[in-house]
Amino acid sequence: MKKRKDDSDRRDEAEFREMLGGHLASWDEAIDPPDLDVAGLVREHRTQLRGKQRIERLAFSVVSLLLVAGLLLLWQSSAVLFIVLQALVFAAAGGFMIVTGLLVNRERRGRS
Amino acid sequence: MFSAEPPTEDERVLARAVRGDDDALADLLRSHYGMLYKYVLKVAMNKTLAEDLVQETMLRAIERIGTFRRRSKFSSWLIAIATRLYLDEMRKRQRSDRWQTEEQALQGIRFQAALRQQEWPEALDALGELSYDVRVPILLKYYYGYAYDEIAGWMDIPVGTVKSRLHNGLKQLRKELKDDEEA
Repeated sequence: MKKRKDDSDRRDEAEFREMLGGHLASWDEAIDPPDLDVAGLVREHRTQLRGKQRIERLAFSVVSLLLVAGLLLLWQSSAVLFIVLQALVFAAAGGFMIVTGLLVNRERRGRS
Repeated sequence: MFSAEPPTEDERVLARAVRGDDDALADLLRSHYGMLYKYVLKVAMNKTLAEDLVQETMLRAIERIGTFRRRSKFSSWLIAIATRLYLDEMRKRQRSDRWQTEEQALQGIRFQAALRQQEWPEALDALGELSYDVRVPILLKYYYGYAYDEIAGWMDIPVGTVKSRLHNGLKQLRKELKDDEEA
C-alpha cells in the first residue's frame, strides 16, 4: 500500500516537472531581487526592538509592583476576600483557555 | 567512537547570529535574501506583495533568531515564516476590499518579463490562476521538495488536506494546459 502511494507521489512529481519544472527554473533564474540594505534593516530593527523591550520591562515592573502591593493590602484587610479573588482569577484563566482552544479548533476545521 | 566534524563557516555564522551577533545575522539574511525573494514571488505572483512579505519575513527573523534551534535548515525556517505571513495576508485581503486583483498582479509580472524580453509561458499563467492555498503546497512539494507534514505544519492544515489540495491543483493545471493546447 505504502509502495503504491510512493509510486503515485513520484508520478505526480514527474508530471509537475514535465508541465512546469523547466518554466519555473527559467523564471527563477531570471528573477532579479531588488536591492535591500539588509545590514541597515537589522541594525534599525534591533534598535527599535531594544527600545520596545526596555519600555515593556518597565511597564511590567510597574504593573507587577502595583499588583503585589494591592494583593498584600487585600490579604491584610480580609483573607476571605483575598481567597475569593484568587479563585475567581483562576476560574477566569481556565475559562479563557477553554474558549480560546475551541475557537482555534473551529478555525482549523474551517481551513481544512 | 564519537567524532564531531568541525563546524563549517556557514554554521559558525549561524551560531553567532543565534547568539545575538548583528553582523552575523545581517550576513546570514543577505545570503538568503535572493532565495527568499524568489520563493515569495513565485508563491504570491505579485511583485509589490512579494517585496513587502520578504521585508516582513526578515523583520520576523530578526525578532526570533534567538529561538532558532537548528532542527531545520535556516532557509526552511525562513520559508516557513514567509509562508505563514503570506497565508495570513491573503486571508486578511479576502476579508477586505483593498485588493489588487490576482490578475492585475500577474499582468504586472508578465509585463516585467516582456520588458526583459523573457518568455512568459502559458504554464506559468496556469500556475498563477490556481488559488493561493493550492499554489503554496504545489510549489512547496513539487518544486522545493518539502514533506507533506512540513507543509501541513506551515499551513496549519491536516496532512490529508495538503494531499487533496495537491491532487486538485495538479488536476486543474493539467486541465488548463490541455485547454490551452487545444485552443
